[in-house]
Amino acid sequence: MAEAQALNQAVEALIGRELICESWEVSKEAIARLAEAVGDPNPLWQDERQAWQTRFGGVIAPPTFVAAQHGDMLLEKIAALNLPFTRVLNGGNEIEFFQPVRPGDMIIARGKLAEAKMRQGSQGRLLFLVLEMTYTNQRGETVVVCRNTLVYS
Amino acid sequence: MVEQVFWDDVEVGQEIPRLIKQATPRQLVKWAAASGDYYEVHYNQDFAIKAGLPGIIVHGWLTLSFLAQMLTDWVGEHGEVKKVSANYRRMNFPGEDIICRGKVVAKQVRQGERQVELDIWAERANGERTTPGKAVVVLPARA
Repeated sequence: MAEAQALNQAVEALIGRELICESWEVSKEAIARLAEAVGDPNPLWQDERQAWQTRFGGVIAPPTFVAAQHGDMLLEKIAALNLPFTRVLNGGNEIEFFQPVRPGDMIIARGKLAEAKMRQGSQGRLLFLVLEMTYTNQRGETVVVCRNTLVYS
Repeated sequence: MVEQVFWDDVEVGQEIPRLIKQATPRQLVKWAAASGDYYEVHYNQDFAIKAGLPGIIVHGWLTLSFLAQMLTDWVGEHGEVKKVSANYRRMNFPGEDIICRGKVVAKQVRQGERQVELDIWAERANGERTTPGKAVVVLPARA
């Protein structure tokens, strides 16, 4: 019981904490690699010639491109918190899109822990963490906001 | 590209075209490389079993990307996906059909945008829903 309380306190202390802040440049190759992994042949993601004739005037990134990047980094940051769980699964994602993302964009990712909740599951303790990520571009525009629910067991 | 769908022609209750996908283990490795998510449960069978799973599992993000593909296919060049969400209730395994579906639940004009709200989900061949979610898209008006 005391252990559970201590864990609860440790988890609550995490809320609001800034976990990630980093930037990277979007490349045409990275967009193509992701579209290829999905098996999505939409010319908007890969075919410069066809994409040029659309209202976008060139290749853009598919919806999940920005928010799906650097998943490992997220997990490593959380792992560094040394939580007493053996497994983590992605519980859900909620993504909002504000601006198209193009090759050459400089993306800045900021993340914070928005929620942390402990529940008693049928097979033991579960910890739900909600990471809220905000991605901006080189013009300071918000391009994507994503809420990730991670389930630790 | 497919023919453009218009907001005026969409009806509440209508289903959008399905997209049937499969994820091979090779595709999971490709996704790992493309996303930077190298969590071993997606490509190392021994690791996955030790973690209490029946075997390697499909990345939730990949299933979500399949759902997003269904949406961008449907809204076409002049439409726009505004919001998409999914809950990974059950796992998807490599080799099985991941059937992506969507149904229109509401349409409205908000701040000048012609929006359509959808329930979206991925299901198995037996109809079991693994990944329910929601989406908001914007469609052009018929001129």
